[in-house]
Amino acid sequence: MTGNLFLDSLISLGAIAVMVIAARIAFGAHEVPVNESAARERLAADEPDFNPRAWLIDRDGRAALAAGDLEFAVVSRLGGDLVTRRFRPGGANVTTRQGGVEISFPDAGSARVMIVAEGAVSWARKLSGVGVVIP
Amino acid sequence: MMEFPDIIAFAVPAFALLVLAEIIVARITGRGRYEARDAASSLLMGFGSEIAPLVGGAAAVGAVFYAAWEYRLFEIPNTWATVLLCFVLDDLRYYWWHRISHERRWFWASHVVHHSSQHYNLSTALRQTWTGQILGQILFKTPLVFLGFHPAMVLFVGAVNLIYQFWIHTELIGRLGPLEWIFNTPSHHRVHHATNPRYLDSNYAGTLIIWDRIFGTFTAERADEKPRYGIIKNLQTFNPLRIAFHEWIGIARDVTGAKSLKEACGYMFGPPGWSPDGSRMTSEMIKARWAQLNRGEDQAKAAE
Repeated sequence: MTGNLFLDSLISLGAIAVMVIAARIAFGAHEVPVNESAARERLAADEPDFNPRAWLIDRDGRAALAAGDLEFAVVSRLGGDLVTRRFRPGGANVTTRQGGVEISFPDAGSARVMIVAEGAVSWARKLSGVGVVIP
Repeated sequence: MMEFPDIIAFAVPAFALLVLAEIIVARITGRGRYEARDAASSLLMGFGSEIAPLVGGAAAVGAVFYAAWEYRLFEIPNTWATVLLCFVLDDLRYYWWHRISHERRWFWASHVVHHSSQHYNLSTALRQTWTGQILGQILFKTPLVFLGFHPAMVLFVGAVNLIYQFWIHTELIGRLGPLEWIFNTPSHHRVHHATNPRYLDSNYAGTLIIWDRIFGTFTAERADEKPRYGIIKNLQTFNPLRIAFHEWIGIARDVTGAKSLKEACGYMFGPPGWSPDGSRMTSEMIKARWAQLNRGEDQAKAAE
């Protein structure tokens, strides 16, 4: 490199841009739609002892919410990949808006997940732990 | 005096060209995959990791190395034989630093960055911590300087080790025959990056896989179990700042909410996933759960 920090940084950032553009051209920028089968498969890999009994799937395929025996799990998309979070009722911040349920988690690596689907509001109550008894 | 060039500076352009080559080959062959935003995050983390030491850390390492060199135990000459010895010792040092980086949350908070991609390609090799290199260098490399290896030599062999580890971050290369016995290879390192319970906490080697074989942490890649990459709780973001600091934020939150000093220490220095009530999962717990779930399956296979 040149030995000039500013110039070296500019060259590095330029090279990064070239590599990212090449990856974008070669592999596109697809968003994986989350449906029940994809979410089920991912959940089985990430949380093999989680037994999904009911599903709430976002109508735009952004995320899916599964109810298990005592817990819930969210499968959401991150670009072409899926990410799961498993939690007990009351273990996530849950709000309802625009006919959907918005879920966020306390860990700093998480993002808000929005699921718009029929029945979302009644799921929100369960997620918050209202009326759910944990042994 | 023997000269030790800054080989990282020479290697960086080659890294960029090899990433471009891998993108093309992966696209043509269908082996391996790139997600542009994930790659952007990885490359920006790599860029940041080169800048971060300039914020005082490099000076701190220099000062500690200088002090250790002043009080060195032996006069070790700079010869090719001592460079080789230093490389082997540094590789052993790397093994333990790397292992502790997985087993203790304080160190994991830095190293998690490198594992936080769900992809395994050459850009992942460059996804590096902004916070950990300094601590790792001071704690683990200083003993080599104190022994009497010249600081420039210690930095040089560390750089050789880092450069070696670049090319093993790929799915394009299969197994490499007898080399798999001695060297860390793409196959061994895929296992290291996998979150499959069978593969967790394995293959910490830098260049020589013999350390894992000696210390009992070696796991071979299996043809019937494709590695799934990432971390136990994968990140829901491509934001480099959150990638760099999410685990540190988690530690800070846990420690401020701890009910005792013992709990606070557990959150900082216990295994990643440790919690006082066992409500979170450490990798040991994940492996135990997996073993329990698969017991029936294994018995059925044995009966056949």
